[in-house]
Amino acid sequence: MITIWHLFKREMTSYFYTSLGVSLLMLVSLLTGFNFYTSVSLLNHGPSGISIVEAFFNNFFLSVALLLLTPLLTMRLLAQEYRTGTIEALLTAPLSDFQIILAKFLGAFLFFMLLWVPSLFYFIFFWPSAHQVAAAGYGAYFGAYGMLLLEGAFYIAVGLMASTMTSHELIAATFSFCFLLFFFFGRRFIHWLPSRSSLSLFPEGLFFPVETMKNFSRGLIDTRSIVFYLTMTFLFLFLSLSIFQLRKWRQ
Amino acid sequence: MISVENLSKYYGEHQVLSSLSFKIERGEVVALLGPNGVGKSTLLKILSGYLLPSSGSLFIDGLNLATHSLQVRRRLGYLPETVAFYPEMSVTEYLCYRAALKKVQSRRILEKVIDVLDLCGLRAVEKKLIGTLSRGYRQRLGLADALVNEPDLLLLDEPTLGLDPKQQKEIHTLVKTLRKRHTCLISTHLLEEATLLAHRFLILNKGKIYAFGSLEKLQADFLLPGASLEKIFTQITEQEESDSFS
Repeated sequence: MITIWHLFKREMTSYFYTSLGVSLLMLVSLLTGFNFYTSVSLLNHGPSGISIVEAFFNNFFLSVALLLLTPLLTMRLLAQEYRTGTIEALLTAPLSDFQIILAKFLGAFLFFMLLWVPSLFYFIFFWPSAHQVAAAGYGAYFGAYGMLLLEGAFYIAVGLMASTMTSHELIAATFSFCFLLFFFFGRRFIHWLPSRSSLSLFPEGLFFPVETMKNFSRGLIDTRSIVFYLTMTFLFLFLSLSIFQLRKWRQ
Repeated sequence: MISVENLSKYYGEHQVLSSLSFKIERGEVVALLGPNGVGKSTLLKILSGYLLPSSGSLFIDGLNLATHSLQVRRRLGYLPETVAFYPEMSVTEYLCYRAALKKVQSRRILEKVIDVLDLCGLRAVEKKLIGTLSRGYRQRLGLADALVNEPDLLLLDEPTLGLDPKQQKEIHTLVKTLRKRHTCLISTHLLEEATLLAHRFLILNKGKIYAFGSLEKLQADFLLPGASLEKIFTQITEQEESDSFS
């Protein structure tokens, strides 16, 4: 556990050593700031049935930002270690493959969480400045941020897998972006399937990012979506571990 | 200390190491010699646990590397031929990080790092970023990294590669100090360096062990009494070339 902590600490701090981490923090702050501004502007036009939390989280803009940011966040996780040769030092230290994969994932995930901290302040300061609550209840906050973290964990696990497969950060980023894009537009593909296909029977509101976020940001928390995203995260972590070990065997 | 039995390694279809078997006793310094591309670095990478052998078994301190990889890796220090670091970290920060990964007790990490900083002559650059270090200091840092967990076995792959004669001499002095406390396997293509540092010589050629023993044993085996290591090595490689030609 202590070893995972040291690896995790190094992974986490590495974002701040390079311009990538600071750039991502600035970019996300800008994007969320702009998103919050447009959400407030939208609600200013007149009475609306949606809360500011729902308007902020349940929009295409935020989902696309997530799609673009997570590949950038994860591309260097292992690809950079392979490219620079520091993987040799990692693999000759008394560390298990599982410890390496888990620490890489946790480092990226914590940084992902940090990226969204500034957005919390928008909602905190919304009430005193607008004299209105940002959401009807705490469930909407928990739902929206919870879903954001679940989606983030899944996207990071996909990005980690892509980073394990190659020694080139850009290839890793492109691969994870394409995969996530395919998943993101999965709802469209399901409509193309024959009506009797078992996949077409999937309740789309449970799995696909835009639909699930719509429910969660209203405070409608469905455990089936949570189980789905957690399962997918573990599945891709397992795939990352398997590919990492396979690369060792093939050397 | 090291026991290798029928170790082979293939890169795809190409066989790099072919049924190697040898033993190295505790406290010995063995120089791994051979022409370029003969598999010296591959052998060290396998011993370090970085590469897996295609077949054969390998025991370090009686522990099988295949089944007790983590325990074995705790006992060794490895300096690769091309050392890669995180350039954004400072020297002390990097060594503390490596000591933690190598499971040095938390309360002893700083003490161990100070020891290796002194031993490897890195005090002058302890706060510098690794990315700003010269080739010589980077090599010393690689050595300090290999030593920070007080390993029983040291694997050094071309420890003086790319260093100027002064830096080479400094590394030689350092390795001479280390050989009192550690079992060392040093890969080198510098025969003078091998003569200076090692007790025994393992000569590889075409992935096989061509000769293994002390200078006296090699002189006796190749009927070259009083010959230098260079002369023996030249004779072996020339003989091998003419054999393969005919």
